Amino acid sequence: MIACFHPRTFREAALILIAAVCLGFAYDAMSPLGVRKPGVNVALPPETGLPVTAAQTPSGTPGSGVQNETITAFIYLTDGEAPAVAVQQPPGTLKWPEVKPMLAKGAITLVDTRDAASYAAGHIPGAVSLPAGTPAEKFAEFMAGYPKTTPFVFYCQSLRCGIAHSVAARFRGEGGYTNVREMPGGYVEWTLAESNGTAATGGGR
Amino acid sequence: MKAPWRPDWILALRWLIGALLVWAALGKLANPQEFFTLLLAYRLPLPAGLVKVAAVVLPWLELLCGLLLLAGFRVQAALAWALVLFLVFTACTAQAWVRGLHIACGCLDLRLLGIRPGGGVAGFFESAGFAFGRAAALAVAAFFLLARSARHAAPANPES
Repeated sequence: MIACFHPRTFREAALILIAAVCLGFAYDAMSPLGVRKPGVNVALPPETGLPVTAAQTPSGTPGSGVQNETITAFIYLTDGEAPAVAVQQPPGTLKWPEVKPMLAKGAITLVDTRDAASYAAGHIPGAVSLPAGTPAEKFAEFMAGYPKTTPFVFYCQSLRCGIAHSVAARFRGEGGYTNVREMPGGYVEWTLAESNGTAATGGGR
Repeated sequence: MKAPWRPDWILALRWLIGALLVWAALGKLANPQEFFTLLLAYRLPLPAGLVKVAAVVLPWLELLCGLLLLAGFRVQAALAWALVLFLVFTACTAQAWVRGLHIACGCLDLRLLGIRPGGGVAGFFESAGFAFGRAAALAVAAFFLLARSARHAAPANPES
């Protein structure tokens, strides 16, 4: 089939690639959320089977070991300018600046719905872990520990992960909890706002 | 006598692929950092620097190819890239599916349709298994269109 192509097609394909590279790098340099901004680095949680130690968890929580393949990566900041966080989130949900004072006052129970490895590698201080994939009996056990009026706030990795929303819906539905809210910006929002390069380490590349 | 109107399935398929590519690109361009983290979650055996370059270039490659397919301009080159992209997506999602990674595929941003990510239907559409099936089907469709266009462009049919 390749032999059927006119050489012009290859030239055009090369031009498309060049245009994509140029536009990509120009856009990335202009975007406040560009991945090549100075100071933005990324670390991955450790691979499966590697224990996560307390030294690797800036929030001071000893790791519980990796139970599943980790699924998330973290953006953290080193020295330099912090990129702006353009969080466009659904109405009725919370942003970190709203959650922060409530958490400080102990007015809410903050729940991290990411997998255990991600939680162990770094989480919002004060958050308790309830991975979305928790077996039903453990889930019920967790719920049994909290009265139905407990003010919960759920988060996961970022706006796109969505598992906090499904866990929150489960608490509202089968749990019958009446005060359930979400922080859709999740761990990325907190990291960019608070960590200043000290959070979300462990297994970095 | 005027020929009866018949649906042009080839054109419809080309527009479908173009529209999906544009949709996929817009979701990624809205938040490059988020797309980067989603790519890393695939745990591909590639250095993070290379993944970063892919996160920068790939959305624009999708956008350009999608627009060219919708416009009907430089179709063969755009289809060739679309085929390459879909084959890469197929391989990436297949390895994620086989390894049981519970990733958000990062392919099409359902929020652009007002659908919130999470469980249920949205979770299914974002799953690695569905993403694999979709990428494979799109690769077959792109190959079909490309083979057809190559046949038509062969020297035996120089006028087409």
